[in-house]
Amino acid sequence: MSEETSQHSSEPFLGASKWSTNAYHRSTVVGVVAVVVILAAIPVFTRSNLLFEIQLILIYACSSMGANLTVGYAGELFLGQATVMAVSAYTAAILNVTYGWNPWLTLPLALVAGIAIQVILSLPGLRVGGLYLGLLSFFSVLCIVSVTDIFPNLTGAEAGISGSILFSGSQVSLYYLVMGVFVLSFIFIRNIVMSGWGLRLRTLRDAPHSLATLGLSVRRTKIFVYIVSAAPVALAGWVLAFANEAVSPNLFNLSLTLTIFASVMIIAPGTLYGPIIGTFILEGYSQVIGAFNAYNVLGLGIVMAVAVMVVSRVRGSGALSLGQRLMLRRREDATQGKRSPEQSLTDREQHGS
Amino acid sequence: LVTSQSIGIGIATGVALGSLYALVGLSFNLIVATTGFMNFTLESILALGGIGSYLLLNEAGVPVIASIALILVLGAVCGLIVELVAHRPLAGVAKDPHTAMFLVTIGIATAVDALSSKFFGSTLREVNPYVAPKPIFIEGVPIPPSYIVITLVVAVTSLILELGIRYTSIGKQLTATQLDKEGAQLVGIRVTIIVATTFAIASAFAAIAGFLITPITGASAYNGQDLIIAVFAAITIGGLGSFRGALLGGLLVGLTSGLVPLYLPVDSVDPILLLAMIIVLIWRPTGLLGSKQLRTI
Repeated sequence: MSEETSQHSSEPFLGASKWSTNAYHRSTVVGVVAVVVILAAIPVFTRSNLLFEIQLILIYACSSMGANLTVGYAGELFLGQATVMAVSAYTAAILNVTYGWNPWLTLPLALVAGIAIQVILSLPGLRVGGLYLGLLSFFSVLCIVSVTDIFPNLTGAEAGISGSILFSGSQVSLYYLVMGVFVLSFIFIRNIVMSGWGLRLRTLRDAPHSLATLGLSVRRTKIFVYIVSAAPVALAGWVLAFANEAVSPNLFNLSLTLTIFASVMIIAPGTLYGPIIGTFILEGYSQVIGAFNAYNVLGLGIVMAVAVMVVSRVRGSGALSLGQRLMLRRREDATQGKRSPEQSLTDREQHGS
Repeated sequence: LVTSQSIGIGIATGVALGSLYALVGLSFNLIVATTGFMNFTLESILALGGIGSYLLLNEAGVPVIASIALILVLGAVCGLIVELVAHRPLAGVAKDPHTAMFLVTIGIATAVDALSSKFFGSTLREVNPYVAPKPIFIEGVPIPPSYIVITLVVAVTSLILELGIRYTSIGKQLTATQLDKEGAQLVGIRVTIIVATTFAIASAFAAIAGFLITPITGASAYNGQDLIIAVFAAITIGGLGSFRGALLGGLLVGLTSGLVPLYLPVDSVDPILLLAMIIVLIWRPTGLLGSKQLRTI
């Protein structure tokens, strides 16, 4: 137990720890600004299909970040991100195309609908844990096609709805919107993780009983995760409806679920950057292979199996993942001078790095 | 138009499908009860059972009895491979082995499905029936003989399983492993062998379920994915890890899938099952017959 605690209290994103925050904040800000500048510069060089593909990656990265908050940080096995995206994308498309709403006006409703479906699907998670929630939410993804088939007038059944257009003819403005959504989601997730709630979420994952012992409600913490982690996913669904200019059930299939999940697991679950890098690798792979190619699902399945196996074996043996080790070194560099060499030596021994 | 005949057919279909769901649910629960792990690869083993019966019965012309034996053996071998590749490296080492095993086996299963669709094609193929397809009339309701075979096979299998667990040595060792793994190890039960046996038996069940279902659905690489929804619902409603729960849950879900299409569109079956799962889990978190104590945190 003491080993566990020391491992997690060493995480640099711990909101409660005050040391090293300034240096850490500065390096984060520099990193984020650099990424934003690079992303913002992309349309200058390319306006072809590649821009659309990068948009898709950024959108899926938002979903991965949401999934990472639920699974990576809070340890709640919710696998229904594709369902949440589908609900908010369909809400946006139906209101925009069928009822002629202004695209921007569909945003609040799409967000609410997406968050609502995640909360409803997660409700049993308040009474049962782990596998049941996983089964149920995974099941919901497989139900998407049936639900769209029941209401063909509303959802267009298999063909879906096309014509959801936000900026007619301007690919670049759309790209910047997607980029804005991506940056916003990142800042949103980062702030939660750095806040006291972030600490609560990790305690829910690692030591739920101590959360209860401290007088904090496990139930309320879970409801918080379900609501908050759905927001970036629902936002991604909304923007996908307009980026793709159409929605159809085959957008939200098993391969999307696998992409989101494998992206979270492949680099380092429970870190800020892991799922983003993972999405770039895996969605990049999907785009190269072709999303509807059988080899796409084959590769994603294998990556998911291997990644989870490696991550849980490495974590289980008490060592830290590569990402965590890099972060740890950065934190130690940042705190040089504030701590005596002996202290950082004992630290290093404790972390087993 | 709903007539007494269509209701009769609905019930017959429901019982046959329900027996199949129960059989697959049993194989899931067998592993859950022994190890606590959710082995999602049973879904692809089911699909492979269907593909195997197409290859054996249609392509190679192997007699039915020999095909059954071969499918059972192949299923068991697949189960042993999964145990070796996915279960053994995770058990006892991983921090959260249950979640890890669930995700790892989902990955393997989707990869296997994609691979078999690459080789077998993703379309449904009709398989030569293992019993004559001419329906038998009971009270004026035409019932395909395969339905009766399915129901009988599942009834007999679950009876043998129940008796085997109660009265044979292996069954008692299995129960001991279920109740207390370390205690069982201490009294000299070779837990690794028991666990491997469980994986083999469960996978053989899944494979034979894939064989039995071919007269209803045909053979396809995605048979497992199509069926798994109902099986999930059956084991969740019945209670994860409970044998009788799987039977009851399977029957309830089977009757739902048999009778709902009489009144509502066929597509509404899955959402109704999802809704039923949510309600049952909120109302009785352990399922209808689940006795295993669950922790809320």
